[in-house]
Amino acid sequence: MLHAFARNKSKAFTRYLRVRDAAEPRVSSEDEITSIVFGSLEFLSCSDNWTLWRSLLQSHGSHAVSGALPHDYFDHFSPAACRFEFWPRKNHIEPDLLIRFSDGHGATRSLLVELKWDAGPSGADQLKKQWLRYHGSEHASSLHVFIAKRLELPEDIRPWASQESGHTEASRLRALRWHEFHHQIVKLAGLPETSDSLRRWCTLVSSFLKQLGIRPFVGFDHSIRMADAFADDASADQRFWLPAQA
Amino acid sequence: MNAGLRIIQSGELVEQIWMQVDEMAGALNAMTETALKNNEFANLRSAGVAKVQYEMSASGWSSTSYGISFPVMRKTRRKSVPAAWLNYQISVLGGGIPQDQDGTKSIGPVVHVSFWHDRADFSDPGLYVEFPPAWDDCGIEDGRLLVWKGEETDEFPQWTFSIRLLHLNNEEALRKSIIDPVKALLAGAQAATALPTGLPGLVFYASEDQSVPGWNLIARASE
Repeated sequence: MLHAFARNKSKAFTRYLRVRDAAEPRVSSEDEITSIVFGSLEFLSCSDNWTLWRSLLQSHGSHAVSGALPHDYFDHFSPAACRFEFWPRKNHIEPDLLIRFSDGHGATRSLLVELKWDAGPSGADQLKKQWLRYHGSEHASSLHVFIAKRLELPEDIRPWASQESGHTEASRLRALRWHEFHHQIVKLAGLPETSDSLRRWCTLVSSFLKQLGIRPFVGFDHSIRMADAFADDASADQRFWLPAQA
Repeated sequence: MNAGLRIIQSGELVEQIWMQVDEMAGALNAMTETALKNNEFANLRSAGVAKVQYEMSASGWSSTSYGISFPVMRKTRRKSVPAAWLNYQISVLGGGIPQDQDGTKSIGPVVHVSFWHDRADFSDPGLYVEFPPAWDDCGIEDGRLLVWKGEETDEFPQWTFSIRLLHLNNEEALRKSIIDPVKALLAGAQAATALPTGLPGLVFYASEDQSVPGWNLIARASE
């Protein structure tokens, strides 16, 4: 669908803007957006996926809301393979996505991903339950990624705490706003070292997110130009809603 | 240009402005949440989820203002109960636009930034910024900050300042003209320090005689 949206062949994305078809009153926006944005990642190379997530999770925006990133997650690890599981279910817990990277020599890294669109977490302890019940045995090599429009994070982030050398503390809970996500993929698309496949994915997803209103704030210059065009018009002194003077 | 074309373009202009208001609200939301989380707003932390609301025109056909309110509390308190609210009111048209002295010229769309004990509420006159204002108990500090003096010494001071929307051209401008002044005011800075005369978009206020019924606030784009 990303291609159809980008070329204006489909307006189906309007269903995520709350434009609803009476015949289909319930739309699973979050699941569909998850599939559209992240489903296509499964077909990119493992190296591209690693590049993408490293860029997202090492971003200033993620750091600002989540604190320090555990230094051992991305350092000294080169993935040789990665596996995606969408909506894996265990112990009555169903995160949106689990990505496991492996280096071929027994070392692994995993990302447990929870995505929200218009809503916040389902219940105050949704993230905590996911991390503890679903992912309990893999904490040392994992990050818990939460992407949403509004970040409503647990007050107590001790379950995600990671002790770093020098007595500093990092967090394995990595929160990211969709705006920051968009900003980062646009940045990634502009880097010369980004592969063609990943650049294409970034471009298509950026176009889709723009259609859904995830755009950077760029101010009112365009509005000012539009307003000035009215004033510049030769007949601007006559208000269009008034009858013309005889 | 014919009337039909201009009507269409007027609609597109309004659409364009609200689209950017939405983006601006998203950016302000993110910056405020981050500032609260990173202890940048004095001794305050978030006390819950921000509330969003829209004010509609009398006919109900247009949105006139957008509001988002962040509940805050002192960091020392354990229970999450809002002690004050940081209210952003973005007024594109309607009663939220300040008037100039003779009431004929508009200074354009504005964002009102308020730190109040109450959450802004468009359904309750006095709990949002409108002109002429429903309140007459505020003072004006340095011609730029509306202030309400608290009766109790441990109460939070309440204040409002306004920035012209068209001067906010990117996220850096939001930081400079909104987030940084909020930070400074919450830290106890004087109005003239937190809101320097050259601050992009700053609205200056003057008061008519407050003892006269129908008291109004007069706005100016420069000191």
